Amino acid sequence: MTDREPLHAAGRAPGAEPEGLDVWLRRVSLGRQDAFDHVYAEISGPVYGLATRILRDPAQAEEVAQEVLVEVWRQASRFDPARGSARAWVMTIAHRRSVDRVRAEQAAADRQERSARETAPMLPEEDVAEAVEGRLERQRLRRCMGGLTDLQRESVTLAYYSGYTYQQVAELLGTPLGTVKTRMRDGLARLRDCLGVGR
Amino acid sequence: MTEADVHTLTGAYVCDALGVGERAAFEQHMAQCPECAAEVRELREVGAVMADAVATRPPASLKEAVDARIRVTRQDPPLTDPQAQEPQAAVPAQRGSAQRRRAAWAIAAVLALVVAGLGWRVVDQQNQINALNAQSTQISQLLAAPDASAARVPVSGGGTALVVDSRSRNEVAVSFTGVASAPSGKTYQLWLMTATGAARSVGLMESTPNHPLLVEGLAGETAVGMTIEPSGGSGKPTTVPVMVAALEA
Repeated sequence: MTDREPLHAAGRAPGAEPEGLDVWLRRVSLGRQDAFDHVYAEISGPVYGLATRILRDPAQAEEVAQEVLVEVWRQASRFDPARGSARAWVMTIAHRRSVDRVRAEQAAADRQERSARETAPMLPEEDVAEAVEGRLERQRLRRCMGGLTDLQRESVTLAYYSGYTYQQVAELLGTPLGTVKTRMRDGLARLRDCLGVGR
Repeated sequence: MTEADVHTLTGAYVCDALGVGERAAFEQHMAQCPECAAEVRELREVGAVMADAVATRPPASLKEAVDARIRVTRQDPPLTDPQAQEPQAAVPAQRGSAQRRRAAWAIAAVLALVVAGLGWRVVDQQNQINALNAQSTQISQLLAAPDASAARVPVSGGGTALVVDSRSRNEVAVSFTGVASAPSGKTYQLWLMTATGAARSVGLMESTPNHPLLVEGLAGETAVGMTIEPSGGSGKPTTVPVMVAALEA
């Protein structure tokens, strides 16, 4: 990625991003490759970072990121700003693809044996390369994560960043299924309120 | 799963923490639950922030690869109405494979279901359409695979399942016709089974969905099967399968 725009302002509302990723997506839907360059600069970092985080394998993460970004190009006309921000639309695709890839890998390897501790349910601290691009978001998120209960935070991060099913999360945390489902929901809801997004 | 339980799945759904069958069941529920759809929409904004927080500068090779691919990738047309899907659906049938005829009827059958599903959902839930559309695209890719093969098998208790699989894609799509809901307190559970009899759950559903289920990530399993299990599912099949279909080796 080159010449990334300054970080999108904190506290943006869906569909009202300052530089209008949704507007750029509409231009992409008209087949404009120059518009896609702009979209790429905005989203390739989070898409690749998320895939890397979930897959823990740079080569596979690059493959998945490639699929996601091509899908954004292909499906740009299907994005509807009335149904959430462009960024959420892209990251939903990226997360789904990454998790589906993890599950496919899981079929062969018994990933569940690996402990929750190994995959560090707290926010990532270890990758220096990650630090620059998402710094502002990381600070906001870390602050809001601090407002969750341990069980909420672990449930959300194990599912979102490690790609576990809620059944696997329940197993890892030694917590009943119903509790884990509920904690994922109210954990995310509390983050939504703290971050001021989605309303 | 009770109705109240389904509502609490919004968080797990947004985290992609549901199995394939539960994901499909939740999407089906969401199509008739505007509150769930609204909540999912809000919680997805949290996901976007969580993704931003782990942003990593990708290698330059990614941009090159993506640029090379989009130059040769046709963009999907906007969704206007369900009929907009038809030209897309016709594409796989044009490929010149030995298995074409075998797959052709399956394409018609499976996509007819997809389009029928889109037909009634377009009235109230665009979200569901988008989900189905992504899946229908993936299913049409599955059907276009040179080694796609299809079989229709009976389901005990009435109805049939259409099973389309491709070893090269490691995917299988299953659609159901005329299959009743699971008995009260029970759930259908789908399994992938190996030659040695080991079974891996790929999801639960109370009733068979009226759009095809796509199972990705086959790992050499030789059959797909469905049993009736106690609500909440079982770790391994505990009853005689109501449906078993061999997957093409």
